[in-house]
Amino acid sequence: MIDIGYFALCLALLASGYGVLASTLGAQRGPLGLVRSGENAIMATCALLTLAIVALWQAFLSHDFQVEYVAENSNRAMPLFYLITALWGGQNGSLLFWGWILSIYSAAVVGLYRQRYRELMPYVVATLAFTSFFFCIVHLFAADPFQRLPFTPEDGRGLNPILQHPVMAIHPPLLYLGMVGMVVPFAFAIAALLSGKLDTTWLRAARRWILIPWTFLGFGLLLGGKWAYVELGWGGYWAWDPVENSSLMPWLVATAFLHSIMIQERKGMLKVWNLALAILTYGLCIFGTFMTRSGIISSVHAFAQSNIGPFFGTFLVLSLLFSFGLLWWRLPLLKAENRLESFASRETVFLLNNWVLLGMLFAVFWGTVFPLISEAFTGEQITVGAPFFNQVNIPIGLVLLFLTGAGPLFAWRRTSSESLRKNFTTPVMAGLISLGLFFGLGVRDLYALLSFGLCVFVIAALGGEFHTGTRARMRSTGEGYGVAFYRLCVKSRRRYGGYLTHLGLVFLFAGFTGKAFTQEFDFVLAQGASREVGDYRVSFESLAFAESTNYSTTSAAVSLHRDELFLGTLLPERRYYPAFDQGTTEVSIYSTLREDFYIILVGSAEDRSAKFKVYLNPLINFVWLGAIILVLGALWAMWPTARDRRLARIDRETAVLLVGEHSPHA
Amino acid sequence: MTAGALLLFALLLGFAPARAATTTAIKSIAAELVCLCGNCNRESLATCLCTDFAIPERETIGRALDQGQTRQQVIDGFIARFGTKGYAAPPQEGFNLLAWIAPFAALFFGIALVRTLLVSWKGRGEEALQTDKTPADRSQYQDRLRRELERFDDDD
Repeated sequence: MIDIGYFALCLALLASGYGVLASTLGAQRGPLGLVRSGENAIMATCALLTLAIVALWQAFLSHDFQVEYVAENSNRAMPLFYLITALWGGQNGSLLFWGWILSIYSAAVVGLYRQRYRELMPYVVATLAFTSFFFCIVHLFAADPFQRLPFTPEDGRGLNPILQHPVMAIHPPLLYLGMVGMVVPFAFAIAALLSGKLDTTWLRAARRWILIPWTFLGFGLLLGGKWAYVELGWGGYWAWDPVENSSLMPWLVATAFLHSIMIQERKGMLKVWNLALAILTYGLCIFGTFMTRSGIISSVHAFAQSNIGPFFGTFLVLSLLFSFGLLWWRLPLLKAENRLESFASRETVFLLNNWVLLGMLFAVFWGTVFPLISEAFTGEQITVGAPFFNQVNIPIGLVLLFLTGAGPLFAWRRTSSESLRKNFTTPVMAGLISLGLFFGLGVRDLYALLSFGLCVFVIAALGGEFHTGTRARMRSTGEGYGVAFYRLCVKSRRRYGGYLTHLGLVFLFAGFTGKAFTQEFDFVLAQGASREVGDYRVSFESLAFAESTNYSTTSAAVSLHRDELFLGTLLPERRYYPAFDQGTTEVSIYSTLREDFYIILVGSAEDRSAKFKVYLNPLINFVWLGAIILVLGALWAMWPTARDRRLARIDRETAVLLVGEHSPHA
Repeated sequence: MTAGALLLFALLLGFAPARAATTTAIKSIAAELVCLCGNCNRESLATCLCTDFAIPERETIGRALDQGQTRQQVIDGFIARFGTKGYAAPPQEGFNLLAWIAPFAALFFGIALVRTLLVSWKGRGEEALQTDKTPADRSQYQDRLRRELERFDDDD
């Protein structure tokens, strides 16, 4: 089966290479058959990489330890679930997984657009196939997941203990779905540049294809935060680690892109900017992969140092040079078609939104690479950690939060001063009153106060938008409030889905702000003893030891009370994985919307006393709630509307006509 | 299992001594520094649970505070022993000042660019209006444009 997997990879290399050639030649007004052949090559690449993935999974499930990757990332003691997730637990397998997802995206694009975007598709296919071709080269020549050992070990090393967590089954695939998916809008941008069809056609296609990976990436990032929170045992969820940053950066640019494409769609402006953002998003995905996997930065998440760095570095540089060169070449065709009617318009706010997001991107990028720059210039190693990123990004984030609420209050084209006064009065008043309330409640941290005030401002602004729209619909249709609200949201999915994602962002910010009020307690308890921790009473009931085939466990049973009310028994654990000689922390959490009671078993002694660390994390669940709202909003926005279906029908009809014209029998 | 129990016991020992310096004071200083054990990739010294570095170093901070050292003296002492990489964020001096200045400089540069762009778009619009047709034509055209845009707005 391993030979079949390797052979499939070789064939995938040939198929994707052929896809590049056939599509490029087909695009130059060649026969339609060649274009179709290029599309079929994409389908074949997908099928072959699926075969390779199945082969690797089969090797894991059959404990084929002669395969080096299987021996390094699994052992006989691991349960089935982790044998499956081990596929993306290391460098080579995760790259194969990455390439496989790319091939699925590519096949989906080809499958969906057999009759649409015909002028763009050959170039889209060529770009997708070229990226697949590159990944196949990496699989075969730099990170072969089917590499055999000269001997067959009795047992494997096992999956890294910190990756043995259910969230890790979902988090990496979501991140990959996000990062890899950004290649599709990039392919459409390149297709627009190569074909010279630089109207909004490519944007129409790219908009949905960026919303999908944007949602996956955003949710994946937050799920990664959830994993760090429950698995790493430091009470937080985001450490500004270079690997976290490398996933955040493309998400920031993609967010800017999602907003700026609206200006081009409506006003025919920002054409160059949108193409640049599509290229930059893709470039940052490749840069993130390069950074994480080349060993140039140190990170708790980084993969072992390997020789794939030069491959990714070269590919990144060549891709960017080619893409921006193409953009430069097409500049004369990219003149703005329209003008700005007023500074007080949504166009201006969207530009400001792009400025803030790109500013945040630069701050994250700069902080991530600055240790390398500093060492190169001064020879001295420095650390750029959370204090730097927090100090720089919190003020920028607050401006972003303000724009999240202010944007919807501006109309497209121009907003009269009377409308501005009318639209802003209630949200501003609500924000100011809440500032006073929070101050009265004892909040003295300036950023926290501003954040809470802005959260209320945004909620009031968005609430007002939903309410005003519903009232207007009620007046024009005579519908009841509920029906009018629902139909309003259905009719303008993109607008109200967008507002829902803005609401998700408010929840996220509320959750982030809660971090300012985290309380931390360290204490030792003898068995049977109890103590007060904030509003809670903690009683250490017992200590237990257990052994499983994979690890040994020390767990403490701790009962939790508040106001004499029994809340539950918490079971924080420490695990020891002999195969790695590594311990892990399994925290236990009592969770409410108000706060998390987060307890860590730090250690135990022979007299059966134990050391605990407790974090009281206020509002943290707003972060997870915000993530869910964000995803729901994005799903609502990307669901096809009647207009989308109408446009799709027109595209298909046009394509049929075009095909007819090119047919030899026509 | 024995190794695990020993590890847990060592962890406990690392935390055992009581001290006068408060946990908050220690954590506040440790938050400005990082763990340099080499295994945890420079986690914050305040939160890291490494037994071979973070926990003993927090103890050292506690002892230094007990001896009457100021916050700055404690931090300086740590940096003197481990170098500037011990700071959680680049020191705001010399070349490293660039780390702090560049993001805000980029933001200022960005806003200047946005302003220039907006002014040029607005200016181009006014020029176009001045060279347009007669006021009557313009008014007719604008009415039609407004109607079409309103219909377009209605869609999303």
